[in-house]
Amino acid sequence: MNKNFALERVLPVCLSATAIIVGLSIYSDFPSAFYCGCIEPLESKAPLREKLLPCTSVEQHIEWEHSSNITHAPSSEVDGWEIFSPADPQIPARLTVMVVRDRSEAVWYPRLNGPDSSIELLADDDPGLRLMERIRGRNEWTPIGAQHVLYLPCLKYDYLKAKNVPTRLVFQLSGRWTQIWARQGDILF
Amino acid sequence: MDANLGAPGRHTILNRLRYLSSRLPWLVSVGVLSVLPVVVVSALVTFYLKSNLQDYFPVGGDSATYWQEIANFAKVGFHSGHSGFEETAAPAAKLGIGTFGSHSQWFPMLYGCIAKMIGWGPATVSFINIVLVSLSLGAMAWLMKGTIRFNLFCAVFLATSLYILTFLPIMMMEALQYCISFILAGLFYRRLTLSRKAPSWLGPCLWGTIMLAALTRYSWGILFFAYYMPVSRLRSGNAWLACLAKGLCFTVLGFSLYTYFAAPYPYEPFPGSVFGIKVYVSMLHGDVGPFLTLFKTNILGVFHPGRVTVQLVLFWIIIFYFIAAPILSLFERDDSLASDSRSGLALAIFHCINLGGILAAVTLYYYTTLGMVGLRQSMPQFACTFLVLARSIRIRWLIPVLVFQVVSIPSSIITFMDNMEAEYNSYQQNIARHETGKLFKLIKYNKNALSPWCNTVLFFGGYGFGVYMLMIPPEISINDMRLPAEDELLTPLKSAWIITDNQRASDVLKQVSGVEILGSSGVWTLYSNSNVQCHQFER
Repeated sequence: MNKNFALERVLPVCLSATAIIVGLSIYSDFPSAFYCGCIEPLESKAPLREKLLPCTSVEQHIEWEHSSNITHAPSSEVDGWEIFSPADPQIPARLTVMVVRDRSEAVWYPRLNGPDSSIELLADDDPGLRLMERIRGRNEWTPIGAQHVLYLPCLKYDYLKAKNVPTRLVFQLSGRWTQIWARQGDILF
Repeated sequence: MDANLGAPGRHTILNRLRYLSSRLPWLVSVGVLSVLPVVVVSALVTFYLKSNLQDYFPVGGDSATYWQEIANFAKVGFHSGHSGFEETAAPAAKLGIGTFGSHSQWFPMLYGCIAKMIGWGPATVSFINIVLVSLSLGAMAWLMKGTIRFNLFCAVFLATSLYILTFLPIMMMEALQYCISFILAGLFYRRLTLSRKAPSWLGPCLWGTIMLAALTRYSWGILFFAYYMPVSRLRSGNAWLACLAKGLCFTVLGFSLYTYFAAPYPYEPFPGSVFGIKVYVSMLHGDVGPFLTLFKTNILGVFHPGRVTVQLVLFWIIIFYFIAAPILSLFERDDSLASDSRSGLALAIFHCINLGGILAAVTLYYYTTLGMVGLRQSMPQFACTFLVLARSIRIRWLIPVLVFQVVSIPSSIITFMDNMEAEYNSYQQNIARHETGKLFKLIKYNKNALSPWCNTVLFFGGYGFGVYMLMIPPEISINDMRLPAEDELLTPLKSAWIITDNQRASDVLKQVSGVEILGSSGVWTLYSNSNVQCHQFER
């Protein structure tokens, strides 16, 4: 009786406990992985507020060799700001930025107009790109200075715990009226 | 008296309605099993990729190749060109027909028939896959006649198995393999537990399913040994000899039909590896080194890995149940099953053949953990065994698999997002269409061609051009050729059309007489090859 009980009840429970332990051993930081894998992609990405920040301390630089079909010009609406947009609006453009992940959040300023326009922010999470945010245009321009928040710790999944990890971000612009606003070459604030 | 007296038709209808209403909870559970995996896949695409199933576009090398082959068959049947590598064609080319790639012709033919009926667009495959998966799960539930708890358990198993679900909304053969595994689970369970009381259609239906499975992936042919297992004469040596002979005969038949329609795969799958049959050819020559390397690499890769991943643990689970499934089938039967001990033994042998066969195949033939090819090959067989176990033993023994799948969901979702982003993002297709859309339209299908090579385009100097392949007209087949050693062609090119984005390849082609530039766009150049005789009046 006891022998059967041990075999039939205790062993499956032990196996399930082992499955939990082995499963958790995959993660360096399970709570962060759970947040980045299950929660963060579902969170609302609506802009927080409308304000262009005057300066940034986020360590970043544009990788022109990995960017394509992108052009930039000074903004005619706000002094000191420049606008990145597709050079040939018939094909999508890519702007690649290397950023050091030294904080939890950064904001960026996309702007677009028209139902055919979209901007995607992708993280280069080897071996593929992972969608962090997709913004689709409507029949009117989105406001200048609308702050879209990027949660930096989730960018590189294999290094959830590590700080100061350089990570490649890809901004993908489709449509004539799509813009990324920048100041002195800085995209993230 | 009954008001329905004298109205037997009405009486029967009422009885049927009563029967159906009494079965309603069970039918609902079958519905949940059929639909839940599809709902989860749709939710993953919608909420995590911020896209929808209609936006799918094959981008990867494999998916684009499959897509084009199915498009070929749907458009012109066998009158296309030769898909494959290094301008090789399947042995069936001797019949004068266009042949498909190294994964054989049967899968493109099967999906091509469906495509011929409903049309074939980039995203069609996602819908075909989810319909087939739903139908096969419904069929499995009907065949197994399990309890509501069984149906719901299977639904939860599949809904949490993101590894399996990842293959549903993409252009790969895996979705079909899982459909086959679900149906085989139902058919085998019915056959092995009912034995002589099984309905007459069951045997031919099971045999046909195994053969169909073996034609799409020849490792399924191993199950012919389970099919011919002498369930009612398990102690008879002669019966087992007959089983071995018949099993071997039909496994070889399946393999032969598979390879007759499969173009040779001339590359080793991974740089520097020694692959498959070559290992055994070298053994015949007295060199056991490559075999030992293969074996050692597989053992170390599985049991002494550099890093533990979800996929590796899934492979461990398969190995664990290879050992546990027969034992559990023999000693831990579900008491509610009124089957005799003989069916327990038959089920145990089935699991040994099913999982043992595929594990032996991937260990002795493939580099198992490189790209986790071993898991991809053996997971459908594991799903088959798992579902049979769920019906025949106490479910508590299968809970650990569910527990692991649930714990690994965060990692699996990230992997899903990393792997699927490109296929659900219009960026690459827009770039490809812009770069090559006009140029590749210069390629024209030749309906009265003398040879399939006239309707073949050669991607020269590279491999796996992925999304660019979909810009080729759907009647034209695609062959890949890498840049030859020393940049020198040893044999004349056979394809009527040649495309390259490689400057060195262009330099090679310039030296070949009869090969002329038709046009160029960006880095791409299209050539015609007049050395191929395509019309009666030529030469």
